[in-house]
Amino acid sequence: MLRALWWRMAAVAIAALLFYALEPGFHEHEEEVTDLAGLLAPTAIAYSLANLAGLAMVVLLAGFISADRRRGYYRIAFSHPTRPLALYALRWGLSLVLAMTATALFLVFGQLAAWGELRVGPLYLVQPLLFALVYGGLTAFFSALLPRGDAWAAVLAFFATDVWLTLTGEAGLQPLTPLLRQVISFVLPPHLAVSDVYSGLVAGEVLWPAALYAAGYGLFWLAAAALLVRTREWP
Amino acid sequence: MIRLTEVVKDYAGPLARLRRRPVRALDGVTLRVEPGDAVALVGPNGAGKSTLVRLLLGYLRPTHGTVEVGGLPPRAYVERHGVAYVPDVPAVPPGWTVRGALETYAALGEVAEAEARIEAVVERLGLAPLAERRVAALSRGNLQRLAIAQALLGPRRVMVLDEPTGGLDPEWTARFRELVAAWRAEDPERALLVSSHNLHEVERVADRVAVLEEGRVREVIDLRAPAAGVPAYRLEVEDTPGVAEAVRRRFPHAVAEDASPLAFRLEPGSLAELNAAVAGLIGDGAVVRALAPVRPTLEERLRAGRGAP
Repeated sequence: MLRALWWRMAAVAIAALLFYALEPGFHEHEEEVTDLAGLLAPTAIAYSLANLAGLAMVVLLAGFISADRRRGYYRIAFSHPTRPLALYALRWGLSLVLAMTATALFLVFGQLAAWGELRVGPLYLVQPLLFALVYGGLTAFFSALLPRGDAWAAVLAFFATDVWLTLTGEAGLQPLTPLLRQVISFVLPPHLAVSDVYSGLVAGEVLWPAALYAAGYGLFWLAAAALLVRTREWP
Repeated sequence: MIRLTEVVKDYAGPLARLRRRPVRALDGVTLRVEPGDAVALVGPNGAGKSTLVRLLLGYLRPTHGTVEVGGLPPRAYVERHGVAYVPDVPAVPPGWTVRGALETYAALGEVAEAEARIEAVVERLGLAPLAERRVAALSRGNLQRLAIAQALLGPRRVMVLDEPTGGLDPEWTARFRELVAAWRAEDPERALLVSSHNLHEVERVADRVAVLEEGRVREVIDLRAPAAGVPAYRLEVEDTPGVAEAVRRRFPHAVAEDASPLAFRLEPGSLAELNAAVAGLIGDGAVVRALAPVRPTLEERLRAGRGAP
């Protein structure tokens, strides 16, 4: 299974390099910045890490169920005494481990490359973990539901959330009715909840409701994917 | 071992469901494959053969009726015991090597002593020179051999073959039959179900043939059952002086074959009559080269069943 994932892991490594190059927080040095908050640019780095973890899950899981269904690989594979759900769960869990390992390595080596020392610790991995759960769950659901394009659907959900939050937050627009706004915010990935969890951790408190909501969102779609795998006929 | 009882399978997308216009692939199919049985499914395209095979593997569920394999719902049986399955179009990830594919399938099936088992099937299927080749680079026939190899990895009690010799050359088709016969001989309780258009192959592999037409079992032909009456015989004699007249004397209704004046079709009333006449013929100085019953081929029986000439 790991052998089959090597090119995806290479894609994650390339994405990590891109995130490093694009993340201003890694390129601010002591002589340029006077205050500690500016030096670490914690929020920006945390978001880069979270985006990397989410993207890693999307890349590692792209087509992991839909391609099997569409190309018929399942026919031989599942004639052997194995449970499809167990196999896909293993693949999902392995992807989560790989995504978080890549994120942790990025956090350590990013800091060493930028500053020559470690300035932030494991706290910065909470937000990536929640993002990995959210986008891992969404990708799994789309992969179980759609014949193709599952990864693109997850990426679309990411950008749709960003646009929605910009419209309703920074732009101050209030489109649609309050109920519809609530429904849309509920269905889209919980970026705000993840952000709240991170802010709470930086402030020294654990915002359990926000953390559980974000994790629950990802696990809900993961459970929906499991239900689809279990109940849908194979083509 | 395999039991289908009044199985109906409808295919319907959401729109067809709303309009209540599903496509009925199987319509009340009842079929039994007992331990030790080898049953073939034959029928025209669209008769429902592939649907039936997929029901047996639990990839589809019946709309009505029940499907059981080893007393369990098919998916439960497959997940617990596995089925030796060769699909009509083998799909294996193209980036895998032949050996890598077999290792993966052996791992999925938790095959005991996997390495030795893989070596054995690689050897038996002549895949050794291709073992490190990627699946994408395999010909259709070699891919089919890989599909057969993976089916032989584990100690399964049920084998399901869907057009298993597609793409195989005549030599490998013959060796495939030997492999299936050897697989059955290893355990007399093993059950085989094969779906094929190749009637010649079906006759050699199966004990019974279920003829599917428009989603229904039209008839089940028992290939191993003895003929009901005395069959016709084909007699071939050596070319000796007056032999044709001697044959006609002993068998007044003998019909000479068009292609060979020394071969005759005989229709004796009984075995005793046949034996007496042949003894008389030999007594007359004729030399018998061959005497064999003429049984209708499966193709002839199917055509007769359809009322075709």
